[in-house]
Amino acid sequence: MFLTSFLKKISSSENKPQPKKVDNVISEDDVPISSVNLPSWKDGTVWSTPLRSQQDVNSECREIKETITDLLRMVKDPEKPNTLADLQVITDESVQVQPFEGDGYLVRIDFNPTVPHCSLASLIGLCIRGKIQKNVLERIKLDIVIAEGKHSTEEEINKQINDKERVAAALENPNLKELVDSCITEEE
Amino acid sequence: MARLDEVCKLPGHQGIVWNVGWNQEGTILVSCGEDKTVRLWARNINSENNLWVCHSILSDGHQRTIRSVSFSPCNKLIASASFDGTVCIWEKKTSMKGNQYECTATLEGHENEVKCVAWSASGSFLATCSRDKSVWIWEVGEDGDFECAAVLSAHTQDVKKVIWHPHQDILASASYDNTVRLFCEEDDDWVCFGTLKSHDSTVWSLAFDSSGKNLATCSDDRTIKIWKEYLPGNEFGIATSDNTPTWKCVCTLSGVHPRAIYDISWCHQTGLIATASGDDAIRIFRIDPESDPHAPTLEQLVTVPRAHEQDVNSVAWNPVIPGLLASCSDDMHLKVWQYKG
Amino acid sequence: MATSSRFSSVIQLTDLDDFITPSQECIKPAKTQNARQITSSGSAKIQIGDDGTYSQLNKEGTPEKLQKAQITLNDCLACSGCITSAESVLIGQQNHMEFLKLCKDIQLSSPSRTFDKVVVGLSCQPILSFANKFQIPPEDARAKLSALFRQLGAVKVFDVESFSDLCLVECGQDFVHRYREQSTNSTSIPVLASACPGWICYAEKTHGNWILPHLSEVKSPQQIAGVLVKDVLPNELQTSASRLAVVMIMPCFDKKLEASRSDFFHEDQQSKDVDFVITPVEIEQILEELAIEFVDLGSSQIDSLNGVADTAWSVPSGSGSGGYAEHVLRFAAKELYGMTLEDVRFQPLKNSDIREAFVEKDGEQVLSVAIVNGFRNIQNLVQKMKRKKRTYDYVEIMACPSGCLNGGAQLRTESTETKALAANMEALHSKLEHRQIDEVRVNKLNHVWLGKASPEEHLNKLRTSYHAVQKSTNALTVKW
Repeated sequence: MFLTSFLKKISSSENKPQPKKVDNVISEDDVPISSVNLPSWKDGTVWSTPLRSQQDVNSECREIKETITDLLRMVKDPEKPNTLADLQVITDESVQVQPFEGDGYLVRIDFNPTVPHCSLASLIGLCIRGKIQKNVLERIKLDIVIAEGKHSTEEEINKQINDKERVAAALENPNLKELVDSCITEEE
Repeated sequence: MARLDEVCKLPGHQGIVWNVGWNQEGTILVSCGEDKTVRLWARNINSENNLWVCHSILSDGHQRTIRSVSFSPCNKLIASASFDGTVCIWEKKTSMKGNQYECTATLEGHENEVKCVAWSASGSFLATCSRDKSVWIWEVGEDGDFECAAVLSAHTQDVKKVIWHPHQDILASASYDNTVRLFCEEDDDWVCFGTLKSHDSTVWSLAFDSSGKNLATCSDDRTIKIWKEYLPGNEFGIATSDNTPTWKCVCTLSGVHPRAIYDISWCHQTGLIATASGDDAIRIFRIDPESDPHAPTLEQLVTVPRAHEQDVNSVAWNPVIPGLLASCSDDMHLKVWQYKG
Repeated sequence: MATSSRFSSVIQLTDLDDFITPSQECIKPAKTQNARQITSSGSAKIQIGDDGTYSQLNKEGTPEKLQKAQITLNDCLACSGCITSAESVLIGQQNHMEFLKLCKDIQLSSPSRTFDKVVVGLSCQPILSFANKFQIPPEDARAKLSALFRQLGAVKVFDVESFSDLCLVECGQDFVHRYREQSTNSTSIPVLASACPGWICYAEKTHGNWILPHLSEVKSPQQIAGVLVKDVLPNELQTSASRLAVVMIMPCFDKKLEASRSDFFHEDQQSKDVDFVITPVEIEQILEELAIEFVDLGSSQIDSLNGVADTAWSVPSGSGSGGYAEHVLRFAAKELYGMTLEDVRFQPLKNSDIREAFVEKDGEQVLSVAIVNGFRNIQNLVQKMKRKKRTYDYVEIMACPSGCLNGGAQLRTESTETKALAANMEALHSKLEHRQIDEVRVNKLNHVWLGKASPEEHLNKLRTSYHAVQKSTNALTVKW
């Protein structure tokens, strides 16, 4: 139920400033109907609407990057007693943050599974997603991917760990939930 | 200038709201979600501002998230599909206390999460699909019994969504295997008669237009596609085989949605197409009436950039009131919108 | 419609085909030869080579290549984790190539051969499949298949159907016993046939303990024939049970699953009741391998075992899957109500894959049996039973639509649709000589085989048991 609690936090902070009233109307001329390939994490760039001052945005992005990196460092490996930082699954370069749509952020996490055949890569992905959903209150869009070339079934796992429905269902599985919780709970 | 006005915002669900839909008369809005409840919403006739309020909560039917909910064409039954692997049938019982819904049947058989449930237009079939890669067709018996009429294993992955043709007993399914499949009844069995391949990633949802001759699909690949039915022996030179129609992709819209598109709804009154997207936006399109029907172009009429605080999971046009749209989101809310052209 | 798998659709639904490759997803703890290297002190270091091989560094720091874990078919069956469609892994043990290699080894008297002699059991569905594909009379197809296996070195080729009677008699007796018990045992009725391993796999994996008591404990003809052959023939052929390869020709890959169940492995003799199951699609591959055209094969007789099997070919009366429901109905009507049934007619219900037949006495229905084929009909039956609704007294269940005649590994032609194919097969089957259970024959077989057996041994040879597969709760292996 951590998703619920996370969302509760969001809704309880509803008195935060509403987004600037945006004109709903887009004239037909402005609409790109043609086939333009959108930037996405797949090609390393992001979609953004720079409404905020560049300086603010940069410092906010940096802050979020640091927060998330720190959070993920402490996540435990599902199999070993070590943390993801110990195992170099998460490094200083793993987290990238860019502004997204008004006051949102697009967060991309590249992680290195310990071995190219590691069957637990999807589980690590689940833990990373779980940890962030539980702790990050900013309005973020999250993409979690295996660092390129680090896993033999990279595409398959990337697809699975970014499928919100599969993730939501997995986190309702009592066995998986228990494991993920034990990996993402920090010891006092 | 076209716009989409927010009519109201409906809190109540405790957690992600996964799916919204309407009853056939368009008088009741139905939703479901992570809190394992189905909620029914109707217009508050006492209030002057025409707000929608929750008047029934259906609970204790499922053990996990309710992913999908659907009103039967007769309006007496509601089917709900859950991550717990079951489908519940809720029947309206009218008593002194008013209308009450009771879970009268539980359909078991899927190996794991049921992702979608849909009633056929005739009301005689129910379709379900699951992560177990199968699509099931259930026959609705006169005695309220549901018999399994087919287990279809055409997909090679998780099946995300099933929808019925508006007039015929034809079923379309969308999957994590990037394809859409079409099924129809043949002799005493159901068969797959078409595979629609063009999307590069999970097909999340799909919708027929009012004629049932066009199909819109939306995907994790951030595109919308329009598919058109070409009958055997058509005059346009589109090849068909085995005397079955060919469904051809006649339009792809990319570059508009920056994130996955989770749902698409094609209004049978107005022809408007609405999309729900992971960028928190709702967008309204229509097929440009000037464009060639064999190579139509989609015209973007409205974008509501931050329709919800989080991902928009589902959109549904009211089947009766033109331009009335319902949406729901990870942000635990439903919204009702009015399109003004 | 193209069938990607030679397994029944039920097997495919029970997680049998997952698209994640087995080497990475398999959760079966593999026994390795290197266990000795893991000492209580230091941890082992494992390197992964560029080619994906794993090496373990020994004390001197030199890498030793680690063996790949071998997963047997039976490991997969007994496991609730992945069961994968990677047929290379799954049926490696049962592969026709392995069979061909064995034939060659025996011919060359290779010292590394695993068996000394080969006997082959032909069941009628594969014979009919060849007859249908090559448009020749079933008798000819049977003679050609016999010729093929003799050419490959089989010392005996027999009809599996010669042994069906043993199975059917046992099914009849089991049913009557349970029918009489029904007032004191709530799980005795309905009795569900257990000859289809696809259905058994589904029942064990998905439904488990509540349904297993309903399964008939009688072994299938394949397994009964295996036990009998291994009991009777080694003496005559001057070999031992473990050196005699019993090969069964079956219409479906699911039968391979059955043959590799641990229940049918005898640790003391290191011998399985059935060593190979080969299907029509594999026979085609064998023919291709040997560059032989099926039509060019000569013809050869079918052997009888100790003079107990007839030379005239006949199959049990009833369905193309083996006639279980019909025999049980006839036998029970006679045994319980003294009625001799002339003609047994099965009436189709919603579709032709669910058919039922009844016996009435004094205007009251006293016996009801059904033939239920295909997953959807199995599903409806199981759900009815689960809701404690009345179903039937006995049900013949086969996982494939149209039953075993339409088995997953039967030959298909691109031009013929599944439905038409099934109809052709039905027509061919109906023209075969059908027999009702011949008590003289059964007594002869029993005398030859079980003459000196105690009642307990008798049961052991003809009955088996089932085991619910526990769902894995290990989060590391949960698939999501």
